[in-house]
Amino acid sequence: MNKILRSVTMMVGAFGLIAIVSACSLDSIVKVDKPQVGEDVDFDYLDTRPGALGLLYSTIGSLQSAVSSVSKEVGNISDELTARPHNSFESVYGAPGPDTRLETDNGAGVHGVQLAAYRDLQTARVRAGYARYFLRRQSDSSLNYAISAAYAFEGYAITMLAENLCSGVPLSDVRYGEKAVYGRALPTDSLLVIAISKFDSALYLNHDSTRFKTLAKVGKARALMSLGRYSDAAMTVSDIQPTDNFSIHYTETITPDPNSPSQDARDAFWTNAILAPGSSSTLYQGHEIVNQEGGNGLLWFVNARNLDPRLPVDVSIVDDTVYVFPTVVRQRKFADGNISFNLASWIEARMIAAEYLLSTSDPNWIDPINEARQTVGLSDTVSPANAVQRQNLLFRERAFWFYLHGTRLSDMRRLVRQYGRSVNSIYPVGSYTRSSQVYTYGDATVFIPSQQEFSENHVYAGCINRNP
Amino acid sequence: MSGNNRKRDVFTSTITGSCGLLLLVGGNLVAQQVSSVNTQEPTAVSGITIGSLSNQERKSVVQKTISLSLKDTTLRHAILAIARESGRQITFDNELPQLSERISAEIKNAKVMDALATVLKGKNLVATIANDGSTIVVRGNRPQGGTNDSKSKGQISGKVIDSASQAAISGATVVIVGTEISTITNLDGSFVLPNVPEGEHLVSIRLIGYKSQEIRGKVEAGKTLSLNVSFPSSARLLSEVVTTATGEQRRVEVATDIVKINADQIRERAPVRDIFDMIAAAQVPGILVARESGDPGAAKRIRIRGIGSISQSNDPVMIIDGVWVDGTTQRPSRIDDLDPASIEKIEIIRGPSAATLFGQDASNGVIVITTKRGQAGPTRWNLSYNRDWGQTYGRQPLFYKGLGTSPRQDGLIGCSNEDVLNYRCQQDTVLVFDPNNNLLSREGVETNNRFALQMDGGSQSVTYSVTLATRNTIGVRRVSDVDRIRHRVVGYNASSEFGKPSALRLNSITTAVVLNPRENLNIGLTFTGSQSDLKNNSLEHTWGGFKGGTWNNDFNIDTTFADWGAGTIGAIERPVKTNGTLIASNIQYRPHSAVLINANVGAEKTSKNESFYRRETVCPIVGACADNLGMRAETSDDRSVYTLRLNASTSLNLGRFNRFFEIRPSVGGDYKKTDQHFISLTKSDIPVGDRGITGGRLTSSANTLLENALAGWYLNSTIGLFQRVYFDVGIRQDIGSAITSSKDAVYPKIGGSWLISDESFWRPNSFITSLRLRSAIGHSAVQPDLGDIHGKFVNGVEYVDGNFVNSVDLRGVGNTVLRPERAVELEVGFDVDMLNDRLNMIATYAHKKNRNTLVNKTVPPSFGSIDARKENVAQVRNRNVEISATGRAIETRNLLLVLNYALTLSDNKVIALGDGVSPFGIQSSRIQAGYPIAGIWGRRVMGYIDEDDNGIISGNEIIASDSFVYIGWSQPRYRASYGVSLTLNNQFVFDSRLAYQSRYVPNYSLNPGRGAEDINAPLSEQAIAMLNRLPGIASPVGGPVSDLRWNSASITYNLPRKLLQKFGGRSVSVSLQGSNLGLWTNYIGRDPSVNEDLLRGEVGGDNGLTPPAPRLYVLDFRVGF
Repeated sequence: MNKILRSVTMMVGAFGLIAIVSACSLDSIVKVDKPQVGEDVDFDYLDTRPGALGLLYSTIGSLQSAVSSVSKEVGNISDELTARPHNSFESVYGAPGPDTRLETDNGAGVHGVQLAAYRDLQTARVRAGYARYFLRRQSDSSLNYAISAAYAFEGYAITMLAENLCSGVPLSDVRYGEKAVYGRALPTDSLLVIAISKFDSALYLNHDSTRFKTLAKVGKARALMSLGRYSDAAMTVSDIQPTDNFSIHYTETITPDPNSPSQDARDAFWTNAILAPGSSSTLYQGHEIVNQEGGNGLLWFVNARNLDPRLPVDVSIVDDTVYVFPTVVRQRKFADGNISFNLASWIEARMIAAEYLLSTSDPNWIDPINEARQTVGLSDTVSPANAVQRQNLLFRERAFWFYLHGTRLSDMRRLVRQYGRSVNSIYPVGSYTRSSQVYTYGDATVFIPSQQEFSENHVYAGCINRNP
Repeated sequence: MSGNNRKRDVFTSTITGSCGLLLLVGGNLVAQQVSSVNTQEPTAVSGITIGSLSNQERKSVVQKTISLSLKDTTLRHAILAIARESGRQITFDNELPQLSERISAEIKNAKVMDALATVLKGKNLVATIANDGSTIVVRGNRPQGGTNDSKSKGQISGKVIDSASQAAISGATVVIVGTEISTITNLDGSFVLPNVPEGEHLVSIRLIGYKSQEIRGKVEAGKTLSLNVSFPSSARLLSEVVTTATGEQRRVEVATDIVKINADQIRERAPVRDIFDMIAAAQVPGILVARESGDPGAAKRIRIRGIGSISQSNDPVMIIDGVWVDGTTQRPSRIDDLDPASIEKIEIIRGPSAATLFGQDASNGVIVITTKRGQAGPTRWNLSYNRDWGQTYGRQPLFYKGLGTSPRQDGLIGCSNEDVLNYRCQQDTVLVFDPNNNLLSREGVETNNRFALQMDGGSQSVTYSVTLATRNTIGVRRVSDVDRIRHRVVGYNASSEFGKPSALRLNSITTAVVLNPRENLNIGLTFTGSQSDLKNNSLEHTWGGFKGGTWNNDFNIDTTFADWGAGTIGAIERPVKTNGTLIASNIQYRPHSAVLINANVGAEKTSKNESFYRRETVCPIVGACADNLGMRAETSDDRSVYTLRLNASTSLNLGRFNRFFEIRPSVGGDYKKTDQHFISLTKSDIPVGDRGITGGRLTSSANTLLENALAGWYLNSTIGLFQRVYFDVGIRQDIGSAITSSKDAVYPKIGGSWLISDESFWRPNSFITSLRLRSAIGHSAVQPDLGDIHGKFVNGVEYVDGNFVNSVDLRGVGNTVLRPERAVELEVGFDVDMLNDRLNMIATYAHKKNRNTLVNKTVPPSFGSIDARKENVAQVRNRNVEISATGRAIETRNLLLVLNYALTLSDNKVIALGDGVSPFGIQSSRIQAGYPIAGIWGRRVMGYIDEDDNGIISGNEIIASDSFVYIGWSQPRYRASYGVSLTLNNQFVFDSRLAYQSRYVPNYSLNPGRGAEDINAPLSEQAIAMLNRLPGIASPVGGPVSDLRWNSASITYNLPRKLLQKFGGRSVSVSLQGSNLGLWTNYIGRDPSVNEDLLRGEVGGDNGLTPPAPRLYVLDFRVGF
């Protein structure tokens, strides 16, 4: 019996030894050089300086795409753009109903353009987080500027979400190496506070990149302005110099890699570019400028010979009796496919300063306005007599400076929320005609795309508040 | 005799390895072995016994001299040194106390037995040599130092083999009747019964599945009685040896039902071109083989016990000669390249309860393919030649095309019912045609030539098998006469290559060499190589319209050819060249008779190059055609699978407990690595005259290298009780490059097998000869991809600060908490031999539950530009009842009638989808809790009314179900097959197989159907057609389909043996075979099995233009000599 027991004991011991040796070495033998991660990116490459910076660059691409999408979206929803041959609202939101509102669904829950804008902003936010994670892993202080940029991009994307969408935007927490958490509906103010914290993080890092600091300061100030904290906002941008700016560049002259996912971003910017006449594409040629769309919009131009240098336009007359507006006006600010415009600049800092001074009834509030106008050769303007006119002047100046920058809708909402204007006095209202049928504009609150609401995010149930 | 000499010569240097393993694995295992061919008394010389050898044998054993200088070494090492130097196998009991005594000796030019005598001097040990000279045994010198009893004892040794396969049989009980002396045979079939009293004894050898053998022999004191026992093959199922993860095991010890397909038997009765055909022809319950079309080279899929994965592969693991092969991810599979003539057997291991130890991805089952290894003897040649003729069958539902006129357009225009409703046209006429005969192609005769030469032979030390095969298949579908005339009319002169049907040319070679350099060492080497060339050229056209008209119509045939106007012709070349190689080596080493080490090392590589070249030619109404810019795509897909598998098994000798308790533990591990390198390049606008890839405009490119590695180890043990009850207990742990937490990848299994008919309370009867009950439960898994865990990143380029910079884009959010999708299966069944073994039946119930099932869950836009990510949220259940029965209804000297029946009942259901996961997908892809994975969903017409009384049903006049509703199963829930085989005088063999199945099949061939294109169609048809055209509906039209298929039939004539002997032949047979010979179904299309895509359980049904598997008539001619 002892023999048997010894036999069994030794056998079990031997097997155990083999098992332990096998288990110890398994981790190393299953490591592969080119794991099945993606199509052609080495997993380890992400954890390098070029890889981490590559993630940051893709964040810039996402932000380009987001700004482009949002600017077109906001342009259509506000008074910046209309569309030909279809009416702007309908072209964006599908077939009109008897009481068309901005949130009108096309019946299938699809809002392609609006979804793109929303998704692009979320993409920029998520990608910025990934870039930041890998940049930090490099433990290289020379990359502080890049980490700062990632924070600023994230903050900017969140700010745009807060500015343009209803209260209740979810920010799903998607981080590398961690369990993703589905986002709950966040009130607009909460979003803005989160954005401010991102900008603060960007500004906290020590680096010498004025560009990214400018983006962080202006972005933070914008968020503060939306919270009504004018003083803090003005303080944030007070040291921005006339040469400081953060510019987004884009060119369509070269397509280095037809498979690049950034093609999406180029397409989005291209959308703006082809607003110019003579474009080879017919897809977006119908986007036009209409004076006082819906009865409330700005008077963007008087005639072709008296143009604001901040908004060059091309005016032509079409011989088409079907259309409501026989006069076709197209913007030429984005005249071709080579685009560079300032997301954050001294001009915006001046506008913020002016608004702060106006809020304190400072008689010199117009000075920053005129300082900005002088940069493009415009003569100084004078402060109107009453408060409403002063506010109108301020927001008109902002509208011309930031035409198709994706800020017009936010300005309209601030006029309603912070300046007590009524919806019907700010947004396009009244009726419009299409195919001999008359439709009615509604109020203007932008809801979160139905894909968000109807997707698998079970903790999300839509907007909290549709207050414009 | 020469064979024996050679056998002895290779018994060299075994002791060192043996001892090494003894020390490592079982240092105290009893190591006694004597091999002998008869019981003649050995001769003792100086304390050493030498058997009665021939002079030549005696010379070879005894005359070889050795020299050794042994200084203060143990006796054990001294014996080992002599063994090493002499090349003899010396066996000894490792427990002998004298072995550790230290000795010194100088041996110069001494013969082996003399050398042994020198070192054993004074140790009270004796060396004996078996009379075949193969083995020398050192044991205690009992005659000198033993008791009176031991003086009168001898021993019995021997080996037990299967008479048919010559395979060693382990686990047989050897008992000396009337005594307590017993043992069980080792892994190599050998046994030793020591201390047997002298005298005549009756030795009983029992083994489940075989008839017990009893042999009488006389044991003489101090001598060894050698008994070699051959068990005659039995008709009983349980006598089979099947392949498991730990090696070969007797079926009776395996608690699950492992299917074993004899390849040659299948080939004799059914037309098979590849392994998939072979598995399909075997009609195994629980196994579903589907093909996507009848075109040569079309992909085929296998599903075992249904579908458990929603987003992961449901393909089984495939193993050829011990190494993993990429048999499933490529389409078509490279498994197709193996010629059936090279296959020995296919074993199908169903479900995790059986496949646990195979590791990751085995939850979908394992298919183990073994190529022919050759048999010892003179070279045997087997020639086989097949000539096939094939045709499609069944009638395609007619296509309808409404034509009409419009005041705004000249000529005829397409005018559907919907167009009429919208006042776009006035319908004048309706064209009706058979699309397959008149539209795009005309189906001709498929031809297939296959030639295979297989040879094998060898000796005791080397066997080999070589199979050379070539196959040339030309498909059914051709460019129709109409199309050819069209092209000629417009002046396009395509070369004859275009318009030919797709064709496959396949050459393959399979070689296997098995070396037996020693009795305890077996090395198998397999090489397979294949080269296939698939041509799929075609002519496409985009006709500009009628001469003088504007209707852009592809369907109109009711016009004269001269009416055809300008158009564009696309001449498409689509060659696919594939080279495949498989190198597999298997090493079986028995360092000790009770220990078997099995190693498999191998690699499979495939290289596929696919081209797509489209040259456009624009043909004006007047004038000659002119070449236009072209398009070219090149893809290269290289894949490799590397395998290393190790297993060590032993049979513990428990002495007297062996009679009622056996334990055979195994330990093993394996490593698998897959590489895939995929390169693709697509260019358009290639200038006229340029066929290369250098010109033109780049439109897409990819260069992808993917790697994946898996490793695992396992412990397993078979425990036998009373030779009637077996438990199979095992556990495996896996780790892989895609598994984040190895603790999640531990897979246990346990199974039991009880041969109840061997129990004492069972009254033997002829009705039930043997009955085994079995049950097993086991876990396995399917792993997620690494990208599913860590996210997906791709290279990109962004324009930043005025420069293009390389970027890395996040394209998929990972999920770091992903775990392998886990399957657990409970299998219960029985195997019964009835009616004096004339009826064998196997019945199994399997309940498989997939937990943590990975779902490609749609994520909200707040995740960014990512549509979905994998999550472990769902649960899927599969239940299967599988019954197979084989009965020899008539069995006489000249007549054998065998009947087969197989039944499969399947039930699949998504049990849960997890919190927050809404049902997703539509139609046959819809995943919803409470319904099967591959269910058919759609909206139904609840009613219709022609309110405006215009005779046309519009969308507003249909009452449709509010939402998609479940319609029915797309996968068969009930399948049955029936087979009959009749053999007359061992010369004529008739075999026939039928199969029945039922399910729901969507039928897309109704669109465009009459209801949509003919305003005079019945309103009911219009309602269905209109429902399908409503936005967002695309509801499939179909219904329950049952089909009875005459799968195969064959009649074979084997030449009489006497006639063969006149010209030295071994076998000659001529067979006429057929497949798909009949189809009886209520399906309105051609064949409901067409276009089955079981990758995700989808069954597309007949899409109208996909040809089904053709009806084949095969002349099969075989010669063996």
